[in-house]
Amino acid sequence: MAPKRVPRQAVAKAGVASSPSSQVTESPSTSGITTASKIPALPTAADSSAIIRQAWASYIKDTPRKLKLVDTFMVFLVVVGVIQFVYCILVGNYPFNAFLSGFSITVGQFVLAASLRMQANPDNSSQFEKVTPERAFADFIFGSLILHFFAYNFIN
Amino acid sequence: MTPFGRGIMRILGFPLLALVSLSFALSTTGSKLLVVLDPSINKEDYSIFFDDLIGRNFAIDFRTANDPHLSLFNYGERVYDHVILTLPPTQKALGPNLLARPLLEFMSNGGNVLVMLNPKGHPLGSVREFARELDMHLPFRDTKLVDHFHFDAETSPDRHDTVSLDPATSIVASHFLPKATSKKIVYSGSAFAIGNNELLYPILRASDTAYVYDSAEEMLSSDSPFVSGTQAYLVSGIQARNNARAVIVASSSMLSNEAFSAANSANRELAASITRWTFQEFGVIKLTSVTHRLVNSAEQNPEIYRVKQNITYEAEISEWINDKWVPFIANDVQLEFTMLDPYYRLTLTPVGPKGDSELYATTFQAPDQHGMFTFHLNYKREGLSYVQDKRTVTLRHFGHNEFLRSFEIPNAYPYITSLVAVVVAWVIFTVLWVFSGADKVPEKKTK
Repeated sequence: MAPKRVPRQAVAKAGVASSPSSQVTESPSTSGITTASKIPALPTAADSSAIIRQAWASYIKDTPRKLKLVDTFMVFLVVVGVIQFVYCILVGNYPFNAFLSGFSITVGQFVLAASLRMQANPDNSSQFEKVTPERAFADFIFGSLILHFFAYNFIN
Repeated sequence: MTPFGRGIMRILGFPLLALVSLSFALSTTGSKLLVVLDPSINKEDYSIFFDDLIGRNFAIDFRTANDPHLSLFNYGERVYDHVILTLPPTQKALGPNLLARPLLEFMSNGGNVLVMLNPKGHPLGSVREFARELDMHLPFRDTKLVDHFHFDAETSPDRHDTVSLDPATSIVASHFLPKATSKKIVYSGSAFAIGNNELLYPILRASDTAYVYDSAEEMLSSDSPFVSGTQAYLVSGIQARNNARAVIVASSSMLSNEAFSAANSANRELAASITRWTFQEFGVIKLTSVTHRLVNSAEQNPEIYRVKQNITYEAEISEWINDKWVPFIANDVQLEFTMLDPYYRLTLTPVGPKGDSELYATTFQAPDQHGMFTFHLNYKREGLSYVQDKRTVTLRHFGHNEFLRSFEIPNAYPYITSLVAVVVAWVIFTVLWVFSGADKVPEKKTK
């Protein structure tokens, strides 16, 4: 994810006198933030729907396309896993091995996708020095194939 | 029937009931009959009884109890197939070959025994012991059965100790006399008590106004009679677990010519029925064959089955009627499929005759429990031979390749769908990842 905004900290440091809940518009105080070019409007805590909209908008805008692709894949996996789990609770777990196989392929694929996302995110490259995004993707494919092989056999 | 026997019957002019006309019935055990006649008994007084027996193809060997060559066994094998014992009126031994133990060994070897107590007499110690083994408790000496309501007025007008019994109420065994007969049974003698053994087959009991009293002390009423009412048994049998039969008749006078020729007497037919049951001429069934197999399979009696397989069990039973084996039909033959406890108890349905037996069959699904199971056919009914058969088979688990595949179980369709969906989505994702261009690096990253 994109790092936290620097201007917000600066404004909070500077604006001691002003109450944090008030809408702070505008002009930077004199004590010291000269580098911030534009300070966006901060939402209030009560304005939770605005927070969500803000988060969503920033996500859409700031996330790289590849990461959004992984995120979509992960959401799909979660949905499929939840469907299976609810079905198992309602109907019973008669072919238990089939339930385990179907559920574990979604969970395992989710974990692999999450680790791909972590390793392939350019923002994190400082933490993954030995692993390039391409290497991460290769690991992802290898792990996925093993997972699919297991699930296919276990479902009988 | 011998000409002599036929002649006797024509002269005496007795009508032949259906039961007596089956006098050519053969015994399934054999035809060698030993009659131990006490010297106090005149054989001529029992000529009709013995002639009826000869007419049924028994080879009778008349001996006395103190005959030194009399032996039931010869090198461990039974010499005779049946024994009729008559007893002396006084306490005299029957000899070492007719004690309780040889008689019981004779029965263990499959021989049948008919004991006729002496009407005047004192049941001997050895006979009392033999009867006690059969759970029949013989009376003391000089006791007589008395009935003040159903007595024979001609022979005992004042003592009332010749009683007349109505077959409809006194005969407790089925098929011994036709129920609708108007004849009576003439009886004079004592009565005995029987116990609770499940193998007993009581045949004739006294009416409920009768009691046993001690005639030596001339007491016509008694505070505690030995037995009374319908607990006083006059003829009772027992069928041992190896199907040997023993019957005790409380007085041999019931089988004498005098009793047979009394007016309106059913004694002769009753005697025929008693000897036919005792000597295994009727009420004899046997299990001819047993097979079990998988349904629609040719292999018979396999040793291993699997859980939840469909198994067919077939048994064939025949009955000895009129000197041949015929199909035995009943609707209560049951099979138990048992491992310590019966898992199933199924009634075998009679399917149809097969050869000279009736075929009984049932089909069931083996239970969902592995182990050693037994097909137990246990048919024990009163008056009929006991039929028992046990076959043990193994019931094994499912083999690892015998379980249902997931695609055969409708319940597993969502999971199969999810598997396919995830794999397809993964393929699409991989393709898209590879062919999506380089990311636009967001500007704020450098901060």
